Amino acid sequence: MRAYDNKIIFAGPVGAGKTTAIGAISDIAPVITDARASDMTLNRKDTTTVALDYGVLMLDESTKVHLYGTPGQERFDFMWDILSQGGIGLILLLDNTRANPVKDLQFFLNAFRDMLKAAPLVIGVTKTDLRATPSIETYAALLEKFDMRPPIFEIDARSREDVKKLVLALLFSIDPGLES
Amino acid sequence: MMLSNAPQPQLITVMPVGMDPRKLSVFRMAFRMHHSHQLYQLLDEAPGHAPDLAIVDVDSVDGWSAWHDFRASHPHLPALIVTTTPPRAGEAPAAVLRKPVRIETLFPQMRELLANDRTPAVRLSTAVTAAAVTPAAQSPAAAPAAVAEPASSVSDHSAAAAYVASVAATLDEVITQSQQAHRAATAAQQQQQSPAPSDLPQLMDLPDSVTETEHSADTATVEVVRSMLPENQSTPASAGGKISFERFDPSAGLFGLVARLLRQRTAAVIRVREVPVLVLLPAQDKALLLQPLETLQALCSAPSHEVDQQPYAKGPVNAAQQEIRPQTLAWQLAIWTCRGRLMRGIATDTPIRLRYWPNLTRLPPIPEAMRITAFLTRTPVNLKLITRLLKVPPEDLFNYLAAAYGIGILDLPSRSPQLSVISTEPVRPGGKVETVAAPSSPQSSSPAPAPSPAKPAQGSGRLLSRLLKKVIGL
Repeated sequence: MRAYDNKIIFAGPVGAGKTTAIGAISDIAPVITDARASDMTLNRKDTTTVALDYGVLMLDESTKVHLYGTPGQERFDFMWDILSQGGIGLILLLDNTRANPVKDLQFFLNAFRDMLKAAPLVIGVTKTDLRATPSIETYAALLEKFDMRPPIFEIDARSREDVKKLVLALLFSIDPGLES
Repeated sequence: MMLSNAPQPQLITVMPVGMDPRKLSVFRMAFRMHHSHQLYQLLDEAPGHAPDLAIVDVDSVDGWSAWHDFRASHPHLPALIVTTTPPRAGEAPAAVLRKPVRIETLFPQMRELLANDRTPAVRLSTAVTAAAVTPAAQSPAAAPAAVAEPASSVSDHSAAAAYVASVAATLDEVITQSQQAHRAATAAQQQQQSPAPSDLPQLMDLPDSVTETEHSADTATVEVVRSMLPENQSTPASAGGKISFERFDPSAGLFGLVARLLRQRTAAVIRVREVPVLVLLPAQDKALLLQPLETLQALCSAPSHEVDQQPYAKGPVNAAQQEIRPQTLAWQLAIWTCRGRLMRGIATDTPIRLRYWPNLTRLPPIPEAMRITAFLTRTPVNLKLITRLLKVPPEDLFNYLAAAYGIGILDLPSRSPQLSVISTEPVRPGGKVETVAAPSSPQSSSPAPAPSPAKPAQGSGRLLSRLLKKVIGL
C-alpha cells in the first residue's frame, strides 16, 4: 500500500490559478513566492510564482495536509519532481484562455507521468467564462481516447466550493467508498 | 403430533393445443405460480396422466383447424379456446378466453369449466367473451371440482401473478412479466429463508430490464424488488417485506427528445402541446429556455405525443428567457423526469460505465454524484455492486444514471458489446482487478460476486478519511 506524504500538488501553466486555488481552501494565508514577472509571463500577469506556493489543511493540531503549488514556468520544472514525490494526488489547472490549452494538458501529463503512475489526477479548467472552448467534453473525449478518465471540471479558482470539489474528486478517485 | 386436516391439492392436467413453445411457457409459468387447492400442470409434464381439460389456441398458423382436429380426437374433453378475435356470441364451439390472457381470469375460468362442464352453458367472467359452449359430456378423467375455489383462497403468489398479468397488455408481456414475477417471488422466498448477512442496503433481484416496446412510453411500470432496507429496519406490512421501484422510459417525453437531439447534434425548436418551450443549438453549445424553469419542470411529465420538434430557423429568439448549456439542460431534465426511478434498459447485473466525468461543478447537484462517478469511471460495474459498496440510496443512484444518460456519458452493453463487469472490488490504484465477461443477455440472473470494500492501509486510510471530513466541512 502506498504511503502518502500528506501533500496535494497543484500544477499548471502560468496564470491558471494555482496560487488562488490554494488560497481558497488553505487554513493559513498561503505562502507565496511570487516575483515580478520578467519574461513572457509578463504577457499574462505582473507577478508569477518563482519557487512554490504553500498552503495547509489542518486535520488536527499535529496533522497537516500540505498544499503545494508548483511554479508554472518550465524553467522551474526541476522542482516538479521533488514536490510531487509521495503526493496524495495531482490537481492540474488549465487556463482556457491560453493559446493551446490542449497542448498544455499534454505537456503536464507528460511532465508528471511518474507521479501519475501511482497517484490520481484531477483537472480544473479555469477562465471558461472568458473562453468557452475547448469544452470540458472536448478535454474528456480526448483523454478517453487514451483510456484516461480523470475528473475534469470547470472551475473558478477563487471559489472555495469549486476547489473543494477538485479535492473531493481527488479523494474519491483514490477510494469511491471513502467515508469521513 | 398434530394431524393435518388440510385437503390434498387436486392435480389438474391441462392439454395445450395449437401453441408454440413460447406460448406454452406462459401457461407453464402461470401454473407454477398458482398455488391453491387446485394445482395445474401441462400434459407434457405429466406423462401417463389423462388430460382434465384443454386450452386451444386458434391464432396459430393452423387456425381453427387446430380446434377441429382437437375436437375430433377428444370429443368430450372440456376445452377453453383462447384467441384475440373471439367469434360472435353464440357462434363459438366452446368457452372463449380473449387474449391477452389474464391470470386472474384464466384460473377462475378453468375452475368454472371443470365444475360446470355438465351444464349446457358456462358462465363467463366479465373479462371473457361470452360464447356458446359445447355441451361436453364429462370425461371420466375430468372429474370436476365439487366446489369452485373461492377467490380468497388464492395465495400471495397467485396474487402477485395476477398483478403481473393485470399490467400486461399482450401475451408476450405475460411471458416476460410472468417470468419476472416468478423470479421476484423466488427471490423473496430465498430472502425469507436465508436473510442477507450484511446490514448494508442491497439492490438484489430487481426484475430484468424490459424493452421499450413492451410498454407504452408514458406508462411507468411498478416493479417489485427484494427489500433494499437493512435487516433491522421494518418494512411496511402492506408491502409484504418488499419495496417497489418504478421504471421510466428515458426515450419518452421532453427529456427523451432533448437527449436524442443532443446525441444527434440537431438544432431544433421543441414544443409541448404546440407551444415552443426550448431551442436546442448543440453546435453552438447553447439551449434557449422559452419558458420558466418551473414550467419546464412541470412539462417533464407531458406524454410523448404532446412533445414534438420543429426545425430551427436561424435568427434571434426574442422570447428566450434564459440561455444555458445543453448539457446542463439535459442533466436537469433528467432529474425532473427520473424522480428516483430506474431507467428502462438497466438490470441489476447490467455492466455500467461512464465514458468520462461529468462537469460536476456546473451541473445541478445530485447527492453522492462524486462518489458514484468515481466508481463508474474506473471500470464497468453493476447496480448490485454500486449499492453494496457505496451504500448510495437507490433513488440518488437512479437519478444520477438518468442524468448521465441524458448527457451521453453512460456506457451500456448495447453501446459497448465487450463491456465486462468487475468481479472484485476495483477502487484502489494498483489493486488487482479481475474481470469476467459481461452477461450475454440482460436476462441473466447469475448473481454478481459480493466483494467486501477494500480497506486502505490503516494509516493512509485514516488520513484520507480525515481529509475528506475536513474538506467537506470547509
